[in-house]
Formats: sequence, structure tokens, C-alpha cells
Amino acid sequence: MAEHLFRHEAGKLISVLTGIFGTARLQLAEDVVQEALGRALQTWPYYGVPKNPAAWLTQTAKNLALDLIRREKLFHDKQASIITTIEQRLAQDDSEDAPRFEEEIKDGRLRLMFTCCHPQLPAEAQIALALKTLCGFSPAEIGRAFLTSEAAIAKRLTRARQRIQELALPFEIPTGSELAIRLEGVLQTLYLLFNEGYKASSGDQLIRADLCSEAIRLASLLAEHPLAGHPRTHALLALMLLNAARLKGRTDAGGNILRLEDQDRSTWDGNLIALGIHHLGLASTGEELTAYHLQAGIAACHCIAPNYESTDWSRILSLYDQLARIDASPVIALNRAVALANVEGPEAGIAAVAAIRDASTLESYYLFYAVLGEFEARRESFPAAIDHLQKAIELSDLETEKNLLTRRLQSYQQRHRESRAGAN
Amino acid sequence: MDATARFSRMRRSRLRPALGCPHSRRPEIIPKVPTSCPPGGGSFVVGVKLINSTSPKTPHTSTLMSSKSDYLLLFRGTTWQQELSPQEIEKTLSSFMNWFQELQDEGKIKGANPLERGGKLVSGPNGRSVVDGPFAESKEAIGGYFLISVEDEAEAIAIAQRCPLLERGNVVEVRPVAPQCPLAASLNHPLAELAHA
Repeated sequence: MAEHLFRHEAGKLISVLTGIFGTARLQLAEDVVQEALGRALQTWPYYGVPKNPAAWLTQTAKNLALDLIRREKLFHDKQASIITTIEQRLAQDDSEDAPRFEEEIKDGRLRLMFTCCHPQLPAEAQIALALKTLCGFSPAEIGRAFLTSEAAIAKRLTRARQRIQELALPFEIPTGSELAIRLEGVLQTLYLLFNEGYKASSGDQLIRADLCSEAIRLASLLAEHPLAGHPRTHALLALMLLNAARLKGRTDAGGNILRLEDQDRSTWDGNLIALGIHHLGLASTGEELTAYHLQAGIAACHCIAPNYESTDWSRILSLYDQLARIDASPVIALNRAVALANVEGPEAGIAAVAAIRDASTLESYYLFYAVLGEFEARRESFPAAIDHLQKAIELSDLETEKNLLTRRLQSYQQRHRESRAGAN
Repeated sequence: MDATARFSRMRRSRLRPALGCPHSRRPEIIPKVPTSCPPGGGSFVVGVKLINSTSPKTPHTSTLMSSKSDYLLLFRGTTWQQELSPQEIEKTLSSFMNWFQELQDEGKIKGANPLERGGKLVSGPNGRSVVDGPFAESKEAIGGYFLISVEDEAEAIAIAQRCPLLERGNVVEVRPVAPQCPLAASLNHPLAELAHA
């Protein structure tokens, strides 16, 4: 049985059934699929896994859907036509390898993606809904990923489904000029989904890795589609792949966070890097240059550098310069300062940090002080470096981060003592 | 057999439901030390001697009976998987399958089937009343059963304790299958009839 078979089949079947029942009956589609998976759990242990598990699940979902349509008064008027549609879309596979309307199923998932990521739904509801319906996560799992309770997620999902019903949101891939606008919304949600998994904050590590792979899976689906596969879709996919490639190297065996310069680059995933570079190539066809392009470009510079020292920092700096023009976020400005310090030296970095507009929003951000501390240490003003590091430790709330910062603080203190001993 | 061992065996036998058979006898199991390990290891050849529960001093002997007892494991609760994510369902499914496969490989499974949800309850004179039930929503609804052949109740319980559905809130009911009354069995045997005549 393929890994995550149930999770992935659930996403496919919910899309197909939503296409049949309509977006207003999203919950019904979810329930039917859940029931089909439950039936598998009840029978497979006794009779063995069917030859084609996916076809078995499809067939069971189809039978359950037919039962439901015949029973539910809701569908009374359209009963006959819905039954015909179910018979067609969830047709029985007679041969084992029969393509299960793969194209149509993919299409259904994209439609559902556009429904879930509709701009009229709140951003957090979009992510939760995408995870529940497209990726087959339970409210409990989504709650674990977002450090929220299962009940809060369930409520969020219920409200989102109601909203879809009230607004009668369509189940379609938008066309023409609307596509570009709506595509941006979908990409943003996938970007947030990926970042949620990628950021090294607390929460269930396994679930977090799954968030990254699910975001990549959905972005790949989009990228493959003739209409949704814009250069920027490829750019986002490249960005995800090039960051995901380095996930394993971010911590040591003891779970401690490693800085980029301390990472063992042999742990980086060469296949993901190659795939990322491939999509970055596809992203550069055409005129548009988005923040995704620039971030993917930066990630690519890190991925292809054999070590920290030989990293092409001037190229990274120029990418950050362009990125800062598109996105005036102080966090990007802070990252740009790091690149600048690597090109022009720590003084230039310190000056760049001082010049950040809205720096006040960074003052509660531990990395702000960690970066300044590093700059000060590089120009050997250790007392200032120690001050900044102490502040950074105070502000960080993750044990692994605190440990990393403490190790750095100790090395500054050590070097400070050595430099004083050397001066005497 | 020393007194303690007999007492503990009696206690164990009391856990079994009354059979209502006047010739009720309990099989006494005397393991024979095997001269060589059977291939595949595990099962011992055992001889069985029947003792009358009221007067253990006058045993009949029979080598026809097996020392194994049959137990029915009933898995109660059929709606618990509604709360699980597809990933959790997949995980539970594979541990259940491994558990089942292991028992099968050990030759302990005599029968096993899942049950469909719902059904009918037939009651009353001539079965006049036919109603739906038990409902799947009920905690008592049975999702499936195993018929296992084991040494004793302790083994049946140990197997039930490994059921992966327990983690999900399922209840496993362990029920001994009542053996046929041994004296009645011997009376039914054509050769035995002659002997008794």
C-alpha cells in the first residue's frame, strides 16, 4: 500500500464528490469519504488489502454516495441526474490499470483548491479547509500543526463551509483575467501552508514535515495544469522544493538547530534541489518577476554553493535588493542586511540594520538581536555582541533556539576573554 | 497436582459460564515433554485426561479431545473511526492487519469476519417481531469477530489485549466457546454406545 494512500485518496474523492454534490454540500462529500475509509478499516484486515486499493475506495464511496442520494430528500428533484453523474464519474474499474479519469480527478482537485482559497474566506479558514478537504487532515491534526485546539479548528471549518454555502462559491477554475487574480490567492495560501510547516517553531514535527510535502503536492498539481501553471506557480514550487531540500540539515542528531554555516550539506536532498532548479527554469519563461521568483533564486544560491564561504553573496544581495523593492517587510530588510554584511563587512550590515524602516516591529524579534550580535562579534566588539545575544535569548521562546543562542553567547564570551588576555 | 495449582485451575474454570450439563467435566492437561521440537516450534503434543469435577479421584481417560479451547473475540463499537484522520485510519488498519496475520501464522485463528452495520432483531413467539437493530451508533454494536483456538483464557485475554482497536476506544469481549459435554460426546460415538451397552 502506498504511503499516505488514505490521505491522498481522501483528497481526490472529496473533490470528485464535491463536483457532484455541489460546494454547498462539501460536508456531505467529506462524510461519505470518511465512511468509505472506515469501511476499509473494517473489512481489509479480514480479507486482505484489495489488489487496487484506490479503486476499492472509489467504488465504496460511489455506493455510499448512491445510497445517500436515494435517501436524502435534498436531492429529490435532481436524483436521477445525480445518480447518472455518479455512475459516470466513479465508474467501476474493470481492469486493474484503467486510468481512473486521472485528468478529471486532477481537475476536480484544482477546482476545490480555488473554492477553498476563495478571497471571500478568511485566510486561516482557507488553510484549514485546504488541509481538511484536499490533504485529508483531521481537525485534531490541523490543530496540532497550528497549536490550536481541535474544537477551534472544527469551528473554523464549519464556519468556512457555511460561508461557501451562503456565498454559493463556485466549483471551477476561473478563466480569463479573473484567473490571474484568483491564482494569486491560491498561491498565497499554499505559501503560508508551506511556511507553517517550514518554520522551526514548536508543534508536532511530523505534522510539520507533512505540511511542507502537502504544500508541494498541491503546488505541483497547479504547476502541471495548462492554465494554472503560470511562471509564478513554478517559482513558488521551486521555492518550496529548494527550501524543503535543506529541511533535514537544519538540525543535528540531538535536535539542535544548526545555522546555515554549520549545516552538513551532504544531508541536503539532491533530487529536490534538481527538481527545484528545473522549476526555477520554467518560472523564468515570460516577463513576470514575483517575490516567489526572488526567494527561489536566493534559496537556489544556497543550494548550489558547496559551502558557506563560497556562497555567491553578491548575487544573493542583489536578489534581496529586488525583493526589498517588492516587499518592504522589515524581516526581508534584516535578511538583506545579513547578505550585505557578507559582501561588504559587518559595519555595512550594522548600518543597514540601523536604516531599516519600521525597525520597531523587529524589536521583539529575537533574530534581530542575534543578527546584530553576530555583526558585532565579527568586528570583535564582544561586549556589544554579548549584550545583543543576551537580549535574543530572553526573547526566544523555543528551547532549541535558546540552546543555539547560548552556545553562541558562550563562544563570544570565550573570544572576549582571549582577546583581553592577548591585549595584556 | 498440588492443592494450589488445583485451586487456581478451579478459579479459572469458574470464570466460564455454567453449561447446565450434569456430566460437566473439565479436561486436565498433562503436557508431554516432546522428544523433539515440532517444525515451526511452538505447539506441544499434549495428552488429556478427563476428571469429574465432583469426584476428581475417578478419572475417565480420553485421548480424542484436544487441550485447546475456543474463544470468541467480539469487537464492540463501530463508529469510533469517524473521528480519525485518513492517516490514523491507515495506521490502525496496518497494525490490525499485522496483528491478525501474526495470529493466523501461529494457527490460532479458526474463523474471523467483519460484520455489516445494522441488521434485524427477531423476537417473540414465532419470531413475529422483526425490528432493525442493533444500531451502528450503539457502543455495543459488533464490528467483527475472531474465533481463536488457544491454550486457556489467559492466552485469549493476552491476544485481546494486543488488539490495536483498543487504542481507539473499542472494547473487545472475550467469550469462551462452551465445549460439548464430554460424556454426551462419548455416548454419541457409535463405538462408545456399544461399549456402554
